[in-house]
Amino acid sequence: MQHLAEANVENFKWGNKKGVGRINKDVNFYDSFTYEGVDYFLYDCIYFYRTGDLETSIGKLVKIYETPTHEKKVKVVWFFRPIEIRNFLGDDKPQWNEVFLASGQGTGLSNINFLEDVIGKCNIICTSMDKRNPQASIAELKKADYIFYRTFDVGNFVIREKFADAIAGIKVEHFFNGKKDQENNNSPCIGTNLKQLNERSHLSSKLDKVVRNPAADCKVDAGKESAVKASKRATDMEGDKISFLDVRPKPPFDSNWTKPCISENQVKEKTKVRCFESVLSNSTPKSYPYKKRKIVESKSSSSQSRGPIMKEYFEVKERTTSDKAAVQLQEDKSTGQILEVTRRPEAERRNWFKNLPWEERLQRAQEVGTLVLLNNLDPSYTSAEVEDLVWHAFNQKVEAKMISSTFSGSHYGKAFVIFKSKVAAEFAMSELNRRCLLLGDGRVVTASKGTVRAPGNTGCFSGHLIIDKVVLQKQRDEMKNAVSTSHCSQPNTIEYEMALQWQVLQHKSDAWWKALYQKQRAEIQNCRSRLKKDYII
Amino acid sequence: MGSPAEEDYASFEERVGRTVYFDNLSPQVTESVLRTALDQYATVKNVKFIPNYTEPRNSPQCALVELDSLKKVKEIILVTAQHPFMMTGMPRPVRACPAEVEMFDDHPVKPGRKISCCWLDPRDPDFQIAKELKHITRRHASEAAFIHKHQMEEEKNLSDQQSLILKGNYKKFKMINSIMADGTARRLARRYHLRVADD
Repeated sequence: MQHLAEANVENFKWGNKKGVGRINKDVNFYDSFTYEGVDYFLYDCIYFYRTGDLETSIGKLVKIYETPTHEKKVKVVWFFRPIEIRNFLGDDKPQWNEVFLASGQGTGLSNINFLEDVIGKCNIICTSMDKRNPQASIAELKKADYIFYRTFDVGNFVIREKFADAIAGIKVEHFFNGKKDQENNNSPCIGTNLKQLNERSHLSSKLDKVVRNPAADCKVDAGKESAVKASKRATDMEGDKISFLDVRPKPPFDSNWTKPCISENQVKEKTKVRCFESVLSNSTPKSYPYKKRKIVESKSSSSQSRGPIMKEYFEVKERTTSDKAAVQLQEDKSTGQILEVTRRPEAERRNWFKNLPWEERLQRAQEVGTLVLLNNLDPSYTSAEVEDLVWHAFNQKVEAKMISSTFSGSHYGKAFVIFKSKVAAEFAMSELNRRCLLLGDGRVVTASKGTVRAPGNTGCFSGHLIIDKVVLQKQRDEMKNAVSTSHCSQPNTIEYEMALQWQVLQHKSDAWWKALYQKQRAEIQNCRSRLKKDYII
Repeated sequence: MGSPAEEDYASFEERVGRTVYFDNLSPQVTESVLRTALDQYATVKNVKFIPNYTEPRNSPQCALVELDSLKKVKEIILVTAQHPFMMTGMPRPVRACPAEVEMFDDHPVKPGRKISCCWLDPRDPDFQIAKELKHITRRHASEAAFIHKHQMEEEKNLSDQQSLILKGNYKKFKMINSIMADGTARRLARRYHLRVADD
């Protein structure tokens, strides 16, 4: 905060003092302050940004004060963007500029932050029909950055249209639209914040469009191309003056929430989107601990952690020719494109004969010793790609099958590969162990002997409890059918309690898997970043 | 490489969007069970079980179910999340989440994607790092296996606990039932001059 401290002296000025703290008389409360040339008043809506965040946050200043140690703090009640609470929206499709006021009790309602993280004012109009809310005119609505008419209760995770009497201890009238002269004050301020907000908010609004990986859908439609180009432009035009109004997120909320997402595949495409990718690599949903808890599903972070590091590394590696093998393989790949096409028909022909007993093939291969398990592949590879990979690496024709990963979030892809002969299999394994086969995104392929579980009888499945059928004889047929078919459990049965216990266990296990994957990802990132540095030396 | 491939991929992704991934299914659940179960909510187009090659045989099964519309997918996922839904394997509820591309092992190649690889010689400066990466990979695999084992143990514990509870309840129930059945309750009631309702 050092550099800000110096800037503070010139850019900062307190406004009216409101009073002193009740408990600690050395704490001074203020009504307003001027920071970086902008006047902020109590109950203004502001944009808030901490370095390392993906997006600005919107909040309302409800307390402004200075501590005895001369730290300037503000208490902010947050507005949620729809995307942050998308799990609780259900079928709701909020308007593109709608936000939700936080209410209730719990984390995420409000925070105390350093005043220096305020970056600008925000024009928010309340369109609620509540009688305590003065209605805004059409012109004001047009000028507004965001509107809100609903609140999100952070304690119950419910969206409500009714406003309680107080939110975070502040009377709710302060959250509604203010009197007319205060409204007019807000709009001119937007102009003065152009320069400040340019850099961050247009970057963040483009980010908004491209980055979010909705847990529900992962569609990569034609819009992807335009979004990627848009983000290219965004990163190139960092210093330019773009008018603030253009920068607002354009309606990307079409009916299916299909936001183009950065999947691993997009990372492999050589677009110059490094700038915000570096932001990406820092941002897992857990990177907001200071501000508010984003209620995000865990799975959305799975494919985003591959930052620019591997891609840059690989591009660098491409250009230099220190590793001849790389160049050769590159050329092979470009001619390999042609090879791929001709190989497919053969592969299909083969499948006609041997398609059915894949499991038997695996068993036989294991017995003969030609089964190899490849680990640390990209989980989005297809079986055919694995076959091609092995062909290029070892010049061997093999049969491969990707094992679909059941635990989402794992970024290790596994595949079973059946070689033609035991010798070939062993040679491949020893080569992979001795040297390193490096994939395009920095993965090193490992191999081990493939083992397949012997097909045995299904043992007892934990969680399937059976009681004697004797008693059921008395029950009517319908009841019997009802119990033995699939159903949603009702809360008045023992079964329900047990089911809840299972759900708790499921959530627990999800949590520990997630933690493990995160730790693993961090370790790999660490290692991979060293890869690049070594190369430069 | 060209538009047929892209179209393929686009239609595949559309299918993925319409598919729900079910987890924690009992090994006794078959395709017909799944179909009848989900027919209450939506029309099922396709059911595919994910074969289990490396896990021990007691593991829960997973399946990919293709439905006819996106909306139904969301509905089913909401329902499963909010109420415990059982499919033959009682009382362990199934879990549902939207399917992802990686879960399909027969998906078409994403058009425009290039895979490249290179061999690293021991003389290469990155070789050491690559070796380290390999070690890390191996370690991660064993860590994952360990957690998996731990998870199975926890599940077994819970299951044993619950079966004890169930047995206790069942014994009580049987006893009450038998008393009612063979008239003991009625005789006692007459003795104590209490009224017993006929059930």
